[in-house]
Amino acid sequence: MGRSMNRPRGTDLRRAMLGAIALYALATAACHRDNALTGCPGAEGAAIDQPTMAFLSIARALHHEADIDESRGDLPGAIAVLERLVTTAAPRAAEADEVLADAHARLAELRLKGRDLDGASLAVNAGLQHAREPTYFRGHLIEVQGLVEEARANALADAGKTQEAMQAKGKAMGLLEQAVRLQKQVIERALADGGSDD
Amino acid sequence: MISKERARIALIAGACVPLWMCAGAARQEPPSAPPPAAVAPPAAGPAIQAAPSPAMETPPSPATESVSEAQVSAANPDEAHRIAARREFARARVDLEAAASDCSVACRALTSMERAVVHLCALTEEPDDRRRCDSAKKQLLDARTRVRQACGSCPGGPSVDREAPIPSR
Repeated sequence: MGRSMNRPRGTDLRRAMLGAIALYALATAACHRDNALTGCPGAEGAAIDQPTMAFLSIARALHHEADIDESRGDLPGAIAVLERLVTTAAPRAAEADEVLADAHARLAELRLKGRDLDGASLAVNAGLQHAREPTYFRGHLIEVQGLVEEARANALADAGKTQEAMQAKGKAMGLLEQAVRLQKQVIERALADGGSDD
Repeated sequence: MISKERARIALIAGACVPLWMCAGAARQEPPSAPPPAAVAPPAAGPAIQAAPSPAMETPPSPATESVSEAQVSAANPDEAHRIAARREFARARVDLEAAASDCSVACRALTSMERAVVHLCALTEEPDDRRRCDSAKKQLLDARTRVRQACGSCPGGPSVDREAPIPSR
């Protein structure tokens, strides 16, 4: 079983949504290029500029590359690919911020797998700069930070550093509770109108 | 999960075709070529660009497609390409809206919430920790109920059954 099979269940859903955002950006931009194609839908306020479109396309390609590395068990390779993504010059756009928040979360998870706890924390903090509102992306980053602190607590306990371990554990629990509350808000807000499947 | 990845890749790949066709049609269309009446009635063109009609929201039925394509392919191959691109775009849009729907967001948030609860409860040692775990579990179960009421299920995602056991580490 490859590493991709061990990914959290939400990872594929998350990636599918990002793919869809990128797809819509590409489709909208392509259909409006040259303003010539009858039948492509109107922008409806969702026009995506060329730099954003290009960035989303790059992000999708790099996520795919990281998927391949992960499936081969090449964790350092996948991390390197995502590091390329998060250091790619990004346009100032909400879509780009979501992609970067998501990429930092994935990078943090991969570094956590590789026992690079400080590196994982850095990725979470960088991701939070792109997810300041109470969204799924912010909640997920806080959840990942909780997992990082949990791992830190375990490592400290194993090293016999009981006091530090207790502090890390307390921090982990606080972060995980925060993630639960935030995601609950996200769900309530998303379903405020009864939810929709289509 | 592999099948989901493949589905995602197929979705993206499927969209690339109409995008190329979009671009190709845009480049190939003669500047003065009027739209064929059989496909794009004069009133329909601008209206679609300004605000998609209900027909744009849903891909046309196979029967309608085959008649239109047969008629148009014979008369104007470029227009046939545009019809195909439009149809594929409509499909991609339906997929997008499904992916970005409120229920999709709720299901992803529920996934994250469940994972946080699992790890939170795995850390419990003291009575106060247990109280915090129980509180988080209750929020998760309430969220499951809410998502189930609104969405029915989270395909490929977490359980929305309030009675289903919460996973443990």
